[in-house]
Amino acid sequence: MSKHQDPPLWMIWLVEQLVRERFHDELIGDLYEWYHFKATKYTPRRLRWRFAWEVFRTLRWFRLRKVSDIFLQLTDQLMIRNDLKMAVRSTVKRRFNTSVNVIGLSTGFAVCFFIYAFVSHLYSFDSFHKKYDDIYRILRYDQESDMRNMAMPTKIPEAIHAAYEGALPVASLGQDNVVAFRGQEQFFESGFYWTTQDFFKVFDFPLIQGNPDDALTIPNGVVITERMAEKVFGSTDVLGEAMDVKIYDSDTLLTMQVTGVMANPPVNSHLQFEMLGAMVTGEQLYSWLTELWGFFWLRSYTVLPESYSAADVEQQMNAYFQGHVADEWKSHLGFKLQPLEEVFLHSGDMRLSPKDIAGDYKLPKIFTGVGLLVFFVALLNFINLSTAQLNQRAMEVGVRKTLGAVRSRLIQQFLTETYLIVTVSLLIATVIVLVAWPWFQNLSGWKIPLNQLNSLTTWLLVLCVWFLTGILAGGYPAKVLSGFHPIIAFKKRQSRNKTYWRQGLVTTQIALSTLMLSGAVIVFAQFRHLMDGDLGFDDEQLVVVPVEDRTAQRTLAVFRDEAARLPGIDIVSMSGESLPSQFNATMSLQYEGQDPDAQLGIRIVAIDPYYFEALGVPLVAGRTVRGVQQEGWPNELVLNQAALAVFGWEEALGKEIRLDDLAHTVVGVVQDYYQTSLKGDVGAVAYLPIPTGMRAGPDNLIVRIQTGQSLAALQGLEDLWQKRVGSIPFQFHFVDQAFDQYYKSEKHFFALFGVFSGFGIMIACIGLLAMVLFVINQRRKELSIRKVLGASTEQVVTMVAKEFTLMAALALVIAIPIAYLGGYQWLSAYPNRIAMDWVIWLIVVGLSMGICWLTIGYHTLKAARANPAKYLKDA
Amino acid sequence: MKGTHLGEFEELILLLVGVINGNAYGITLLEELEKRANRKVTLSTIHTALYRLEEKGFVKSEMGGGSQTRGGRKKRLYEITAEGHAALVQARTVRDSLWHSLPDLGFSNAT
Repeated sequence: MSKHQDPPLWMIWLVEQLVRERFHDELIGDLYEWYHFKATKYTPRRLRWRFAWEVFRTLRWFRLRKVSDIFLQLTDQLMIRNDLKMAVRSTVKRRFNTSVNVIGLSTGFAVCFFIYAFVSHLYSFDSFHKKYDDIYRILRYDQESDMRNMAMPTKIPEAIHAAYEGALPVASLGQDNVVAFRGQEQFFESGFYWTTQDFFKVFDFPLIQGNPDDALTIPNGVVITERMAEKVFGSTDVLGEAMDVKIYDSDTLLTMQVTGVMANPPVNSHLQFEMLGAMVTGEQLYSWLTELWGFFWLRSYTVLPESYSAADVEQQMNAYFQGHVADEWKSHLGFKLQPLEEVFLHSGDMRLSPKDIAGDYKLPKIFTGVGLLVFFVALLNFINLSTAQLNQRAMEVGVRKTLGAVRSRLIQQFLTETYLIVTVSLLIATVIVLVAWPWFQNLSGWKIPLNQLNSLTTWLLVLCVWFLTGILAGGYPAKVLSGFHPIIAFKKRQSRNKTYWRQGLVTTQIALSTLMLSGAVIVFAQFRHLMDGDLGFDDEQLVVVPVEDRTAQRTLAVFRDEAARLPGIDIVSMSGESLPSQFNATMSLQYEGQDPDAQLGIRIVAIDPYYFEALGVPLVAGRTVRGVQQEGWPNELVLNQAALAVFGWEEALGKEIRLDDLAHTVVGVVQDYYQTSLKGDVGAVAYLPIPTGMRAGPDNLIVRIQTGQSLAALQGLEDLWQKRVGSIPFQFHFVDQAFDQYYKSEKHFFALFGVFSGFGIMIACIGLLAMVLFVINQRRKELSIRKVLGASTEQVVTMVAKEFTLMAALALVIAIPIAYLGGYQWLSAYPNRIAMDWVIWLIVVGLSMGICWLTIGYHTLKAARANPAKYLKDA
Repeated sequence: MKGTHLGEFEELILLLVGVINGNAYGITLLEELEKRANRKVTLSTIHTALYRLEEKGFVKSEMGGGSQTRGGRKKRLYEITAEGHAALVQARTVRDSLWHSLPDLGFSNAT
């Protein structure tokens, strides 16, 4: 026996609780001795494990108490029943404070739970695939521009597949617009993808019907989702059925055969589709395109066997292609493997099409921050109110202590009270969450299924939050209360530093809510800025008619001229890019004064002579293009100002640039305007006439409609369409509305942020209100005497308001710099952003002070106006 | 009497209780068992054997003094009874008679 170190007491305690009394002396004594006896023989770690084993072995049936006895003994020993009774009485007695606490906490809990649901939904994307950890998206990496891109030419995934002799399955998807026919009915579908046969080897989208091994190998085979099957056939039992499908881009009508029916893709899948067509057919249709290195249209995914490391494969692929690709492509066709877990949240640097579903990795972080703020505000409410009541409860503590209560008993009693409130709040929060769920789904823009959250993690988290809230909220008040000396408690003396502590808490609370308020103001201002921002052209009364049919595109000029003569229509123009557009077409570029080694590309837009007039964008120099190229005409183009800035040119007219190695003369310079959205930048763009029917050629009509003539004009257009094109349905969109769609994610972000911060601020306000009432209550007599002695109502109001105003001012001084830094970070992602100038801060200060005064105003005024006699007479 | 049979482990414990005489309880038994018979068992195994022996009337027990090393708990000291002694003697007699009847089987380690 060396040192008399005692065994872990909690294990002994456990034995005491579980084993019958009569065995205690012998067992526990022997366990003690065993521990000392063995202490020299084992290492401390091992000793503890051996001891735990010994303890476990002592728990034999004949020694154990009855379960009901254990429970009763525990509750009796810990006086839980008594504490609960006291807690209920005490909380009911302090109704007002209790309800403030419950409202604050339950709202806080509900907000936190919504945020948890939102954040975990964002993180759960694609995790349902069994090979989640081994799936990678193959990205094209352009060394010149240091840009990653998710679009691939056909040859690359094919080559990778071949190079690894099939050891790496490669699933590639290429989007196409189609119309599915059933009798006379037409179903336009943009969720159609040409898909390689490895698709089901990589991903786990379960097939309800059909065989995943061959569903995508059969030419003209198509796998459709359940909902698509319901829509087209009215049944999901459609394996082997024929389906007429018109493919827009290749202008062909196929009779496809349903080779599989697939469960609808889960909400948290970044791949969303309705129809998967066998790639073999797609390659036949586009055979001349699939040979091009520069035709980027596929999204490719692979799954690495465990023995492969992503870095190795990346390197091997890069090396392989350096040897197999024409020189001109070498610096543009590099590779990166992006792990599936990053695909959804970390793709913001890549150009997305509207079909790509992507999240922002900053969102979970921002909202976790908001959640924590709301949670702390609710906690501070609780702590504030409990601390404020300390004096009122001092008497109770004094009596209890005099009667023999020890400190730990009192702490336990006060904590029971806290936990009672926390538990009730949690229950109310659960009800709020369940009731408000559909509303939350709308607000967040994601259809997050509630049952997705019914997991062990969630319940453990709720348990943790329950426990932590109790300790954090009740810990300090319990400590202070239980620490009162009975004599001091009876004297009702309040020490000065308690007031400082309370003021500090209130200030922190106002600071936290100001932080949320500033956030909401900045987010809202930026959102308005995007929504109302000047795109650089007149986007009202402007309609885009996409012409996704090759035949119709070839005669588009004729259609344009006829359409321009329709009543109610001002100008009609043809364009290779829609509005808004993603700039799918780029060309390689050489210009005068360029660094000879650099390889550059430029976005191009196919236009006709009416284009700029239709958009209402002024030319700053020269003229626009002269219609479609005719034999013998020099190639012309118009540049935008951004392009001049990139080239470093002062003057552009008459200069020559080469696009895809073909010389073009600059005939005009047009003012910059936003073609993508205000979220992106303008970028260098070349506008040039390209004959209709070519790939980059015009495939949209841009129609300017006279004010008040929309209905007639659109009717006229549709009639003309039926006559001229007919084979596919007439579609159009208003440009201003389409641009607004681009801010959908901002809209949801703002809505969520605003609502959550709003609740946070509301909780803080309730807390502030309770604080004011408390202070007024305490000073009632003082205020009454002051009034009797001649103080005016204004003076009394000022007295009370001064304290809170000072606290609010201090809070603003603390919160605004932090809000500035956060806002600066968030805004830096937008090239087109608001300035965080004094206007913003004036609004923040105004709102914050305003809310503060409104909250305290009514009761302060009421107190100041009250008849002093009422409070003085029972003194 | 039902259940007066002596198991191997019980016999060992009973013998040890006799050997240690006067200070036999969980820990001393565990210690001796490790030292003399080189057997490592948990405390509870010893306790269980002791309870069974007490039930059969081979040992009796009384509470002894506590000490700080026991966390202030009392000991339960065991003592062998006459019946216990008799049971040991009987067990030994049976064995001895069997030993005598054991022919020489030609194993070198037989003595």
